[in-house]
Amino acid sequence: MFSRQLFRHWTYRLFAPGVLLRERYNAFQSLLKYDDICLSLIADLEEIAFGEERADPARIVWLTRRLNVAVGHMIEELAKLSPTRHLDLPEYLKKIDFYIRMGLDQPQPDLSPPFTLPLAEAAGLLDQAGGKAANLATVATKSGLPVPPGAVVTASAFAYFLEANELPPRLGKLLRRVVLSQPAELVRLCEEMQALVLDAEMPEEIAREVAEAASRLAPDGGPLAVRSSAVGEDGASSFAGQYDSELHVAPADAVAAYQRVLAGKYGSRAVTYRILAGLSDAATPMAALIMPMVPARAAGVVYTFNPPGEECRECSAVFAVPGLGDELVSGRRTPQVFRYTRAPEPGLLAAPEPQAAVLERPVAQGLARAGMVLERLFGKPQDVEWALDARSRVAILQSRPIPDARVQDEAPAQNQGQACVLEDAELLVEGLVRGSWGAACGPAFHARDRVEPENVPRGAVLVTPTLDPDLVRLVGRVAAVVSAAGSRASHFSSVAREMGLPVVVFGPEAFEDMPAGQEFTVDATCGRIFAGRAEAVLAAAQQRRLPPGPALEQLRKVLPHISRLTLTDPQSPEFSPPFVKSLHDIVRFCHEKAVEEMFTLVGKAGSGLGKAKKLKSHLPLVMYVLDLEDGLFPAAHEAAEVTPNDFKSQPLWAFWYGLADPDVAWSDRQLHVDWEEFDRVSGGIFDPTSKLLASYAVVSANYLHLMLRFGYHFSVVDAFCGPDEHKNYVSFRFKGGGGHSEGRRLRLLFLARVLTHFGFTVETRGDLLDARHARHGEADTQKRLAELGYLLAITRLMDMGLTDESQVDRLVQEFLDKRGVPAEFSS
Amino acid sequence: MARILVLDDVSDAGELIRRILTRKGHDVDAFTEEEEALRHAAKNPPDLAILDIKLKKMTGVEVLEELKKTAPGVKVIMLTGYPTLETARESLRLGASEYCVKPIDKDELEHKVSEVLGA
Repeated sequence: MFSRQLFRHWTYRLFAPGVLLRERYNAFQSLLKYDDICLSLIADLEEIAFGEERADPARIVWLTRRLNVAVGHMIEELAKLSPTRHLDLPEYLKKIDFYIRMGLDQPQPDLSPPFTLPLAEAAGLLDQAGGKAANLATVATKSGLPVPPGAVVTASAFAYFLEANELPPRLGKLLRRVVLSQPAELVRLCEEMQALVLDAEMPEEIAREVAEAASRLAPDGGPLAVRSSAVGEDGASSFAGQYDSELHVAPADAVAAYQRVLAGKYGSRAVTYRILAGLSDAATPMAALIMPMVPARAAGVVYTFNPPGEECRECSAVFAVPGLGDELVSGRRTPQVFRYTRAPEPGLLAAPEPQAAVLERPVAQGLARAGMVLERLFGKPQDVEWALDARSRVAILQSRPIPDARVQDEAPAQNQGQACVLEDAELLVEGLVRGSWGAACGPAFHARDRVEPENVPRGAVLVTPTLDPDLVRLVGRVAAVVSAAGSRASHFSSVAREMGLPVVVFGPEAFEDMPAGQEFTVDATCGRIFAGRAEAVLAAAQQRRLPPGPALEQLRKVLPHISRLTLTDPQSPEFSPPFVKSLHDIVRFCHEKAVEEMFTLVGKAGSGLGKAKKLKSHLPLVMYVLDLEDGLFPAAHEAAEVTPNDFKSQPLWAFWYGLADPDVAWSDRQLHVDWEEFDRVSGGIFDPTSKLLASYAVVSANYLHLMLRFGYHFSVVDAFCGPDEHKNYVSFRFKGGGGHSEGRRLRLLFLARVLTHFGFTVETRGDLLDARHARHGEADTQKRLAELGYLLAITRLMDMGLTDESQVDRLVQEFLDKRGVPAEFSS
Repeated sequence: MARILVLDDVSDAGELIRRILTRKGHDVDAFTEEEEALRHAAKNPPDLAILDIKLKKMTGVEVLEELKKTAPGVKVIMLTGYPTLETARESLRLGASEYCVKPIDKDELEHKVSEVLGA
């Protein structure tokens, strides 16, 4: 803020009484502010599209809305600077913005009845009944297998409920703040959203229909189950165990239980999962399934293909536990397993001893057969939930496709151990139950109870008692999970397989054998754990990244309209509004034209107060200096050209000292080579002779605003350096180049590391780096400015072919060695 | 080479598109009247129709609907200077393949036409 006030002050001194000129000068300042905001928003969006940040799709839309507004402001400010030019820019903004809005458009909610449906009528109605109910209705009507009666409360009932309570905008405001890197905030926002849903009033029409369905399904007042059946669930994304079901519900409580199921959509783990799956809130409306409870003596799942943990791809398996099945799927209980062939009449391959078995063999055989019937019905391998009542009558409760990843990606070779690479590291244990696949290494972290994600170190190997579905909140944070209990039939194992997180089940000794803080490598592909880093295993592990999901695919598709820079050469006739292709182009255009205006403004003003002067130095840098007040020695006041010896400005002098350091090679020959290299990575737009591409410094005795151009984007240094340390600061912004993203990332990494060593607070987003060093003494601030100058000089010449982090490590070390930084200063 | 029908109430705008696409080797007929365009399409079904949304009597969306009745196989690109999400959704629902917002950009138009024809 201080610099802006200062600018205003100077503005008045410079241009008074030229009010018009002063306004234009202020417009320039305002434009620079919006330029900052735009670049920052673009970086945020790039970070979501290609970086590590995972945000709710509502946030993506919101960021693009803000960006549109900020770009609009830039255009307005530019219009103040040059009112008669670039009149068509707003039209191009409207066009580009429309493509972005269209590309990110979400399905519109359907509010029309019916609000409830008999289960049998829901077959195939994925958009109305949700995946679980629609699939179960297909089972009920087409398979001949026993399914309990049921009623579906439709997705449009949910949409109507939200609209009737005017919740969509209120939920939207909270959703757009959800990012997975801030788990504590996520939990808080989710609680707020759940409270909104729970406190809302159920519209009379829906409440009446739900109550009627409940009394129809439980005429004797017996207990009901109200289960979630979200749209998008049990399809490409399983949402296994992410939504809550309400069990043992009295018919009179059915409406309240239904409302709780709706609120479950905004539970933190369900929201986390949905974001990881790349689905928007709007794309996943919540339907519900109401059924009488089956008084189960046993329950479980049938896996018709490649059953988890069974080392047999062409098998099916029946997993069974006594009582209700939720103990099994929640990962709290290790089930009994009956393994079969995949024939229409399955042949028994393995079973528990009859006297200890939860199920009689004919019953298990019947379940395996039912599984194959369902696989044929749906045309895909199935994961089937079942329950058995006291009279051994089977009920099918759910049938969903086994995730494609499990059917296709896991080659048989991996099951048969051929992919288990030889490893020199010390083997801790092998032959473990494999919850998923992949390998990762990290320090063990014990989580005996529920832990908050922010308390878990990033990249830890989580040691946990069970495979609770709640662990989804840690996906993206932990490197691997080792559980004391659970199986591959656990819901969380499904989630881990979808998300590519290594999971193994070790047994109760996990906590003792894996002391907290010690490093382990978990090889989930082969069910092994190594003490320390198992390099061969890690190298062999297929690098699986989270699949992007629909929302990110949408964003990546519109990203060219947002961030792709095509206006690169200000001297080209195509550097004009009809050629803008993206919001970034407009930002770039406005900035360039505004800077151009400022120079002509000062030139035209010619008031003798601050005509920009060309800098003459031994550096091959075209630069102009605009002296606002006392930034140059008096001898230079009347000269058209200045030299560095004329610099009176403290911060400019310090910065130049570093930039012009004799250690930096600026020789013509080397320069030529490096510029060629730079042209290669920056799109060939740099022309050193161009006046428009010049760098410039706006200075006073204690102030420096420097736009330094080494590529097609500026580095901006904004600094104050004087005797009052509270006023002193150095702000530095650097935005990437046109090179490949890895090279840009590595250069930023280098800058970030070095600047951090020099006490700067550094933040990077996408290929944007912001660094700040504030409130230090005069001498200290000068030194930082000098180091910054030197750093920019050498990164300007730094080989852009950086390809890996070890190069960066080496360069950082070299830099710190050279600049005489004490050893303890370096990492 | 494809047969392309262009319908824009401003004849200059239609003519501009006709020239751009003719240079790409297509056979292009440009119209300013809806009925005339629909009659022409009924007799000589085009491969692609480029329809402005704002017309004289009908909207481009209505023309799209009519056109799809007589020539269901025709590919359609909508064109507008006043884009709204509602018309975009409605056009896509009625079978439009693409959406082009004015001011027309030559490269963009050529690219979208070749994509739609290639699909």
